[in-house]
Amino acid sequence: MNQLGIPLLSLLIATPLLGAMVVLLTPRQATSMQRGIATVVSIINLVLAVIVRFSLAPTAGYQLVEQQTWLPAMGLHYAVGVDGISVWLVMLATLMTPLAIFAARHQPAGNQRPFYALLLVLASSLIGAFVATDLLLFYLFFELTLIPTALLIALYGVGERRAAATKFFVYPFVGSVFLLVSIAGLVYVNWQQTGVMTFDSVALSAAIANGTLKIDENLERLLFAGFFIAFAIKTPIWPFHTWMPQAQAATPDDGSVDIAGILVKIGAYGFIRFAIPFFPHASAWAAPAVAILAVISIIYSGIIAFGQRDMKVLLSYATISHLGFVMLGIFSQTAEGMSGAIVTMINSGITTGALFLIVGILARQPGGRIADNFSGAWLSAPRFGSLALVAVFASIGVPGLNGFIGEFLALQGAWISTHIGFTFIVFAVLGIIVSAAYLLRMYRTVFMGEVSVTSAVPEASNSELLVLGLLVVVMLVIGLYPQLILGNMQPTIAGLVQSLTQGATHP
Amino acid sequence: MAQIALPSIDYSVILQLVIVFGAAAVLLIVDLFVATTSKRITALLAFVAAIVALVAGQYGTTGSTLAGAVSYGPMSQLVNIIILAATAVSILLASDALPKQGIERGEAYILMLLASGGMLLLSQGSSVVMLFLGLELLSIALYVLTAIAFPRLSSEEAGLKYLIVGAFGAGFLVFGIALTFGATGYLTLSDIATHIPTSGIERGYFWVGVTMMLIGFGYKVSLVPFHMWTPDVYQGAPTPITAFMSVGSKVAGFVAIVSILQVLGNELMVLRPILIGVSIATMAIGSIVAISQTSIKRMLAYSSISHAGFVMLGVLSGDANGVHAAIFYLAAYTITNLAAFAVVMLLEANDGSDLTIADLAGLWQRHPWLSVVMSLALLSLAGVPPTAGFFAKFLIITAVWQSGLAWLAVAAAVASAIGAFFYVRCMLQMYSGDSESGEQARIPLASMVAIIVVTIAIIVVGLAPWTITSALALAQ
Repeated sequence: MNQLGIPLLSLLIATPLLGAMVVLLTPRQATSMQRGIATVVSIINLVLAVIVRFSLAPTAGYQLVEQQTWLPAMGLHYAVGVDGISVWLVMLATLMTPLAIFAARHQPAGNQRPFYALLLVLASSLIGAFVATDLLLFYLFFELTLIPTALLIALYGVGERRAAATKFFVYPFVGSVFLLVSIAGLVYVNWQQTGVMTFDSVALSAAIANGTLKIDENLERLLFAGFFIAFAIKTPIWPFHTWMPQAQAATPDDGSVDIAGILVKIGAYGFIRFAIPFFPHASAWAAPAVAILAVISIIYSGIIAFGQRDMKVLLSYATISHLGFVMLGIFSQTAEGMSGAIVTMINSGITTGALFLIVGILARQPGGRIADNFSGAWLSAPRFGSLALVAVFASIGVPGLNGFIGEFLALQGAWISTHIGFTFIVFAVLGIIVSAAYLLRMYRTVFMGEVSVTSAVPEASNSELLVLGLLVVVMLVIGLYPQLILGNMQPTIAGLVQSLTQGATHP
Repeated sequence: MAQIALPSIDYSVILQLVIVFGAAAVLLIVDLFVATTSKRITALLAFVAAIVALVAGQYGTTGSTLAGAVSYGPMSQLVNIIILAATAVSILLASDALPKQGIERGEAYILMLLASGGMLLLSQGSSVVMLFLGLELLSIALYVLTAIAFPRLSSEEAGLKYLIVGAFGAGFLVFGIALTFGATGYLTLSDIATHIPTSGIERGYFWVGVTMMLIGFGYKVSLVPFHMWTPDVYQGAPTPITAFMSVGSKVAGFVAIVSILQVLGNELMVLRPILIGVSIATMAIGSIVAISQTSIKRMLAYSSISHAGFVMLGVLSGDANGVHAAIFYLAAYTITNLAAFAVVMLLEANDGSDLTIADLAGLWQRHPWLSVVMSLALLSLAGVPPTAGFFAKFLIITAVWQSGLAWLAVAAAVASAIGAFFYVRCMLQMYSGDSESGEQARIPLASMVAIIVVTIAIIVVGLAPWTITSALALAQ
C-alpha cells in the first residue's frame, strides 16, 4: 500500500482482467471497439506501471506490499509487492501488451473478441506472477499464463497450431507439477523446523539466509531440482527448449502472441526470485552444470538459427540464445551477473519484440515469413529498413545499444564468479559471433540486394514507423544510459547477493 | 419369551436419511399417477426432496443412534452435502437427457434418490452392517439405472456387467464383515477399533476380514486391480446416470474406506505398503490408458480411475490432513465431473451413441459457452489453477509430504503430468479443427441451471478454497 492507500499492484492485476470482461461484453462483430478497449486498457496499465516505478524507493525489500489472508489454515496469503527487480519485469510486461495489440492490427476478419480478451488475461497473469510474493500465488499465476497463450495459439495460430498449443501447454505444465511438489516440500520442511506454516517467499528466504531453516543437503538438491525443471523449461534453456520454436512457428504471423506472452520471461525470473535464494547451496552446487547448459543453449541455438529460413523460428532461437546469457548471469550469483541477467531479459523482450513486429510487417507481403522470398527491401522501404537495422544490431549486442550492456554484465559476472569462471566466457563469446552472423545474414537477404519483383516491400505505415521508432529510442536510451535500469535495481541485487553469501555460510 | 429390546432412535441424527428414503417411498406411489409424457414432475419432486434433505442437514444433531450403528458429525455433514448436491444436479440433468433419449420413466429419478440414500448411509454408517446395507442400496439402484435405456444393447450389457462385478465386490464385503465380526466379536466400528486382536489366529482373521472389506469398496471406487468394469459401465450407462455414479458412489465408497481405515488406528501401517502400491497403480493405469481413448466417456472413466488413486493418497496417509485433503479432492472432483458429463450429455446424439473426442472439434464455434464450461472442467481435472482441481491436487501433495512420503508426492506429480496431456489435448480440440456448421441445439432450462451451478462452483472453490476447508476444519 502506498501513502495514498491505493492498492496499486492489485490494480495492475485487475485492470486487464476487467478490460477482458468488458471486451467480452462487446458485440461480436465490433472488432474496432474491442481493439480500442484493449489498447486503452493496456495503456492505462502501462501508465500504472510507470507510477509504480516512480513510487518505488531505492531500497532493498518489497514495497507497495498488500496482504490478505487467503487460506489461513495453510498459511496462504494473497500477498503482492515489488522491488527493484520485479518492477522492471512488470514494466516490460505492461509495455509488451499494447505492442502486441498494435502488432495484431491486421488480423484476418473473424471473431476477434476472444483474442483481445485473452491477451488482456495473459497480461494480468504475467503481472501477477511478477508481483506475487506468496509462493502459491506465484504458482497460480505462473500456470495461469499457460491457458490464454495456449488458447491464442489454438484459436488464431497457423500451421500445426493444435499440436503446438498442446505442447506449449503440456511441456511447461509437466515441469510445474514438480515445482508444486517442491513448494509443498519446502513449506513442509520450514513448518517442521520453525513451526510456522507459511508460503511467504520473504519469510522463507530470510529463514534460509539467517540459518533458522537448515535443509539437509540431499533434500535441498531434490527440492532445487523441482524448481529447476519448472523454470528451465519455462525459460527455456537447452535441452528443454523444444516447445518454444514449435509454438512460435504456430503463433499468428504478426508476432502478437509471441510479444505478449512468450518473450516475457517468468522462468528466468523464477530462478532469481525463488530457486537461488531458497537453495543457495544447491544452486552453487549446480552452477557449473547449468552454465554448461547455458553455453550449449547459446551456441546450439545459434547454429540452428543459422539454418532457419522461417524468420519467426530464427527469432525464436535468437531468444533462446539470449536466455543462455541470462542463465549464465543468474547462476554466476554475483551482483554483476544478476544485474546483467535482468537487463538482458528486458532487452531481449524489447529488441526481439521489435524484430517480431518487423517480421510481422514483412509477413503481410506475399513472401510470408521466409527470408529468401525477399530482397532489396531497403530500396523500397528505407525508413523501415533503417529501424530494422538498429533492432538487429541491438539484438546482436552492438555497444551503444541496449543488448550490449546486459550481455557484457552477465559475462563479467560469470567470469568473476567462483562457480563458473572464464572458460565458459570463451564459448559464450563464440555464441555472440554466431548470432551476429545469422541475424546479419537475415538482414542482408531481406533488405539488401535488388528489389524483388514478386515481393517488393512497401514502406511501413506511419504508425508502424512511430512504434518502431519509439522502441529504437528505448534501445538507445538503455544502451547509452543503462543506469536508468541498473541504478534502481542495485539495492535489491545487493541485498539478494548478501543473503546468498549469508545463506551459503550456514552449513 | 423375552422381548427383543429395540434400540432407541434419535430421528434428528438420521434426519436426512428419513427424508430421502421417505420421499423415495412416497414418490414411488405418486409416480403411478403421473402421465408417461410428464415424468418431469417426478423429477422435480425428487429434486425438491434432495434439496430439502440438503437443507435439513443443517438441523441434524451430532451424535449416534440405533445402538451406535448410525452417526452424524461435521464430517458426514459435509459429505452428505456433497452427495445430495450431486444427486440434485444429476436429477436436473437426467430430467432433460433421459426423455431426449426416449426414456420416459419416473422410477429413474426415484432410483437416483434411493441410491443417494445408500450413499448417505455409507457416509453416516458407523457399523459394518450399515456399511453393507448402504453399499447394497446404492449398488442395486445403480444396476437398474445403468440398464434403464432398455432397448439399447450397450446399456443392457453395462448393467449386467456392473451387476456381476458389483455382486462380486459385495461378496467380498460380506465375507470380510463376517471374518471381522468373528475375530473381534463386534459390529460397530468404534468397538472393533478397541478390540483388534493382537495375536493368534484371530489376528489373521481380522486382517483378512479388513482387507476383504477394503476390496469390496475398492470395486466401488474403481481402484486398480478392481477397476475393469469402470470404462464399460461408464460408456454404456445413460450419461446423466454415469455422471451420478461416477461422483456419488466414489464419494460414498471413499468415505466408507476412510471409516474402515480409521478403525485400524496405528495398525494402518501394516497395510500402508499395499495401499501405496494400489494407489500408484491406480494413478498410473488410469492416466496412461486414458491417453489412447477416443470415446469421451471412456476417457473420463479412466480419468476417474486415476483420480481414485489420488484420493487414495490422501486416505492412506491416515492423519486428519490426509483425510481432509481426500474429502476436498472428492468435492472438487464431484463438481468438475458433473460439469464435464453435463456437457457430454448435451452434445450427445439422441440415440445415446458414443461421443468421441474428435466430435469436440470446432465446438468453440458451435457452442462457445459449452466449450468454456468443458474447458474449465478439463482444466480442473488436470489440476490447473484457478480451478477447484488445482487446490485439490495441492492439498493432496501437501498432505502426502506431511505424512513423510515425499517420494509419493513425486509419483503423484508424474501421474498428474501424464493426465494433463490428454485433458489439454481434448480441450484444445474444441478450439481448433473445422466446425461443421451444425445444429445449434438449444440447452434446456434444467441442464442450464445445473451447468451454471457447477461451473460457478469450480471457479469459486478454485479461488476461495476456504468454502470447503472451513467445513473440514470443524471435522477434526
